[in-house]
Amino acid sequence: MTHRKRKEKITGYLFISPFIVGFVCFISIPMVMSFVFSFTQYDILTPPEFVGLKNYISMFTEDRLFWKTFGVTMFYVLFSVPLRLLMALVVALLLVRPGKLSAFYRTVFYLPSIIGSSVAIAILWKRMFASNGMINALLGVIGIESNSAWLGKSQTAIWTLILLAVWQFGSSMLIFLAGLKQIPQYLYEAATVDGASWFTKFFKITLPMLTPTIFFNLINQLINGFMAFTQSYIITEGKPQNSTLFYVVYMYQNSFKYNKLGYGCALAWFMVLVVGGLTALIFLTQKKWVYYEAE
Amino acid sequence: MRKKRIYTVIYHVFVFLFALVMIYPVLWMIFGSFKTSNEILNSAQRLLPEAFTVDNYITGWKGFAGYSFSTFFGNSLFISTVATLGAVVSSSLVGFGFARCSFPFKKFWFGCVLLSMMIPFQVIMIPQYILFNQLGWVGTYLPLIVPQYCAQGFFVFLNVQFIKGIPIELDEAARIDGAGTVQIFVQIILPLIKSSIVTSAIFSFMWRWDDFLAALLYLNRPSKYPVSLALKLFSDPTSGSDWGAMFAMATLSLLPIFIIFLTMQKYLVEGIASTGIKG
Amino acid sequence: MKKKWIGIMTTLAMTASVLAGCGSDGGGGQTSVSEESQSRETVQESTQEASASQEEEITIRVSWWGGQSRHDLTQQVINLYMEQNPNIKIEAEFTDWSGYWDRLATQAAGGELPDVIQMDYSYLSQYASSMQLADLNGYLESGVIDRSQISDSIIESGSVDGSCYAISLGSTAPMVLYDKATVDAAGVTIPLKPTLQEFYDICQEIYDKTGVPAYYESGMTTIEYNARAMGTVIYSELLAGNTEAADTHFDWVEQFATAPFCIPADILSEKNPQVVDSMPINDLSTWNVFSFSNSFLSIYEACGGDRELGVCMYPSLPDASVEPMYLKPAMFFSVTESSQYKDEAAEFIDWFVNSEEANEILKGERGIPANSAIADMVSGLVSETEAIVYDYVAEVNQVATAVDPPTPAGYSEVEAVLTSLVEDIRYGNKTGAEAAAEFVPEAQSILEAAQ
Repeated sequence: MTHRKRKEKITGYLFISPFIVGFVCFISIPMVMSFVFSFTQYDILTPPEFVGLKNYISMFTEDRLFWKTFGVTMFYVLFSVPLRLLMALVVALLLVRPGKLSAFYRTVFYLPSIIGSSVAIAILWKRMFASNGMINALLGVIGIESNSAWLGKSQTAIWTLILLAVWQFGSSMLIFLAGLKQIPQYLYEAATVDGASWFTKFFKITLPMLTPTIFFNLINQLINGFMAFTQSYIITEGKPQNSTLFYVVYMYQNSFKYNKLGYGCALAWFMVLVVGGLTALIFLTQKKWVYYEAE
Repeated sequence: MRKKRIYTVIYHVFVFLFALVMIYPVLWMIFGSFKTSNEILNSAQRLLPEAFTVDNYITGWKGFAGYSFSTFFGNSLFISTVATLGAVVSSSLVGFGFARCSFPFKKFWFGCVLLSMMIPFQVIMIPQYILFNQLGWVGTYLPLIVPQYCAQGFFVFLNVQFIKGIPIELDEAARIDGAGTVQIFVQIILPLIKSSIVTSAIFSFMWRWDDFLAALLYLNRPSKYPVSLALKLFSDPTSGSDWGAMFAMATLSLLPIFIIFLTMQKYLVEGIASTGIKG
Repeated sequence: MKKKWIGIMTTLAMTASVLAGCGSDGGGGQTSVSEESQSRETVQESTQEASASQEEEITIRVSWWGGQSRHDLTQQVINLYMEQNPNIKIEAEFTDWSGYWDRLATQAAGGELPDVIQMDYSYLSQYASSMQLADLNGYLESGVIDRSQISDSIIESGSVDGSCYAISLGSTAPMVLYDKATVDAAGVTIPLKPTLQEFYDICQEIYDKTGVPAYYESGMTTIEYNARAMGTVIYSELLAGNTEAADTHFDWVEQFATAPFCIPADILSEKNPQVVDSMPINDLSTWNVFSFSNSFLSIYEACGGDRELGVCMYPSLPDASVEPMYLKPAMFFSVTESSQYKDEAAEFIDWFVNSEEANEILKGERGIPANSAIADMVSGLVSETEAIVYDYVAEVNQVATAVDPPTPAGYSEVEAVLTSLVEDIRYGNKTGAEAAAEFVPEAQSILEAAQ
C-alpha cells in the first residue's frame, strides 16, 4: 500500500512536471523580480533604487487616480462579468441542440469573439456610438431622438465597454457548450421515464451538473475582467475624464509611459492581492454549490 | 405537434434576429475591407460600400518594405500551430495530474496555476525579456513557443473541471482490470474530455494568433513578424493610416481562426442528441 | 529525450537567473549593477572580435516607427546603402509608434538596443541622461557626420548638456490648419500670425456666420507656446513652482472652453484631435485643428484629399514679449551607447541625412530635411499641396526663435495631469483658476520626483 502511495505521488508529480518546470523557469523568476521592483524606483533605463514601502504608501495616500481606476475596474467587473456569463449560458442552452442550423448559429455567435480586440473593433465601436453613429440612427428609427455622444460622456462611456464585453460572450459560451455535452445522457433518459418536466430536468440535472463549468467560467471571467486592458487602451484611451481608465491600463501607463516601473509593479501586486483574495473566497464557497461527480 | 411547430418557429425567428444583431459589426468590418479608407472613417452607418474595390487587398497584401503578407501568414501559422500543440498536450497531462492524482503540496501548486493566470503580462515582461535574453532566445520563436509546452493555467484549470466531472468509478473499474495510471489517462479520461481539449485547441490557436505583445518584444526582424504585429504597421498617429488595407488584412487574418473553429466545433456538441434540453 | 531536454532547460534558466543576480535577497540596486557589468563585458569581448575580423560583413540594426509609406521608403534607402557598401548589412526593425517605445525600453533593460534608433524630442533627454545614447560630438568634429549644411540650432536641438546625441531627420513647426471654404463663407481672412484675441474673435465670427465650431488645443503644446511668449520655458517654471505662465494659459483655456463657438466637450472627446484619422476637421465638426507641419499632408488626405486647407501659425499671447514660434526636429536618428559599430552607424546616418540619392527617395517624409541644400533639392520634387508646407516653414524660419530644450523626464505624466485638468474645464467641472492652482504644485512634485 505504501509503495502504491509513493508511486502515485511520483506519478502525480510527473504529470504536473511540465507546469512546474514552466512555472519555475518562466513565471516565478520574473514574478519575484517584479515583486522586488515594487520596492524600488525603477525607470527601466537606469538601475533601480531601493525605496522601501514608498510606492505602496504613495499609492494609498497620494495617488488620486489609483482609487479612481480601481473603482472604474470594479464597476466594469461588477456588470460585465454577470451579464456576460448569463448571456453565454442562455445562448449555450439555446444552441445545444444538434443540427446544421445550430452549428451555423454557434458560429455566428462566436464570430464577435474571433475579431477579439483587433483595431477594427476599436474603430467600429467608436463609429457606432458616435453622435452621428449607428446607435443614434437606430434609436431614431424606434422614435427616440438622440444625438448623444455615448463615448464622450463619463456616465455612458463605460457602458459601451461593458456592452462590448457582453457582446463577446463567445468563449464562455463555448465552455458552457462543452460542459453541457459532458452531462451523461442516461440522467435525462431516466428522468424522462419518471415523467419529469423540462423545468425539473433543468433544475435537477442540467444546472447542478453544470456547476463545475459555471464555477470555472466565473473564476476565469473575474480574473479576465480585472485584467481588462485592450478595450480601454485602444477604444477610449481612458477618456472622458478618466471614466474608462482601467486599472491595468493605468498600471501600464505608469510602467512604460511615465517610466515608473517600480510603481507599476506595486500597482500590479495590489491587484494580484485583490483578485487572489476574491478567487480564494469563491473557492471557499465551492463546497456549498459546486457539484463534482468524482468527489 | 402544432404547438411544437410554433415553438420551433418562434425559436428560429428569435435566434435569427439575435444573430443578426450579433454579426452586424463583423459584417461591417468585412464590407469595410472593400471600401476606401475615407469611406471607412466617414460612413459608419452604411454597411455596403459605395463601390466595391479590391484595391485594399492588393495594396495590403504587398506588406511593408518588401515583406508581403504571405511571410506574415506563414509565420503566424507556424507559431500558432506549434504552440497550440504544446499547450493542449501539456495542459491535459497537468490537468489530469491535478484532478486524479494525490501528492503533497497539490494545493500549493494549484494555487500557482491560478496565480499564473492573475499576473498581468505587462509587469513581468521586462524581467522575462532579461531572462530570455540571457538564454539567447531573443530574435527566435522560442520565447513564444516553449512556455506553451509548459502548460497554460487556463487550460489546466479547464481540464481539471472536466475530469472532476467524470465518475471515479470508471478509474477504479479500470484499475481492477489491471490498468496503470497512464493507461487510465489515455484510454479512459482522454476520450471523455474531448470537448475540453477541443475548446483548449480553439482558444489556444486564437490567442496565439492574436498575440502581438510577445512578438513585438522578442522578434526584432520584420521577416519573422506574425500577422497580428504586421497589422499594427499600417497605422501611425501623426502620418495617418491605410485603414482600407488594414481592414482587408484584418479580415483575411480572421479566416484561419474561423476555419479552425468551423472544423472543430462539431466535436463540441456531437452525440448530445438525446439530452432532453430543447429550446 | 524530452525529459533530458527539459532538464537542460531548467539548468539553463537557473544559471541565467543566478547570473542575472535576481535572487530575491539581492535587492533591486545590486541586481542591475551586476547585470550591467556583465553586458559591458560581452560588449567588450565582441568589440575585440569585431576589430580582429575587419573584412567580414558588419551588421547594423536600425529601428524606427511609422506607417506603411515610411517603412517602404526607408527600406528602399537601406537597400541602396547596402548595395553601395557591400560589407555592411543593415537589419531593419520597424514597428508602430506605441509598440516602438515599449520595445525600446525593454531592449534597453536587456542591453540589446539596436545600433541606430529613431528618437523623438520627448524621449531624447531621458535616453541621453541614462547613458543609452552615444555622444556624437566626435563624429561631428571629425566630419564623419557632415554638419556644414546643417544649422547650429538643429544640432543644438539634438543636444543635452552640450553633447549632441541625435541628428535631426527633418524639421516641423506648429501649424493651425483650417477649412478654407468655411472661412471664406464667413467672409473672414485669417492672418498668418494671429494673436489669441484675434483668433478668439475670428472663431466667434465664423461661428456666427456659419455655425461651425472651433477648437483650441489647450494641452502641452500650447502651454509651452504661451510660456515661450512670456520669455520662459514651461518646465523650468513648473519645477520652480512659478504659477504665472500656467495662470495665463488656463485663463485662455477657460475663455475658449466656455465660449459659445467651442466644440462641445463630449463631441471633442469622441473625435480625438491628437490622431490624424479622427481629427474634428475631417468631418467639419470644427473648421480648424492644431497640429504640426509634417502632418499637413496626412490631414489633407484624411479630409478627403479634395478640400482646400489654409494654414496659419499658432495664435500667440496678445502681449507676447518674445516670439513663441519655433522649428523643432520631427524625429532624430541616434546611435546607441551599447552599439559595437558606432563608426559605421554614424556613417550611415551621415549618408541618410546628407546624400542626395537617399533624400530623392525619402522626399522629406520625416519632415523638412535638416541639410539646407538637401531641403532645397527636395522642395523642388514635391507636389503642389506639399509645397504649402515648404512655404509655411520658410515663413516660420523668418521669425522662429530657438526651440525649448528637450522635454525632461516626467513629461508624459505632467501631460496626463494637464490633459485631465483641461478636460475638467471643458466639461465645466473646474474654472481655469482652480485648474491652474491644482496643476502647478502637482507638476512640480512630478518633475522633482523624476529628476
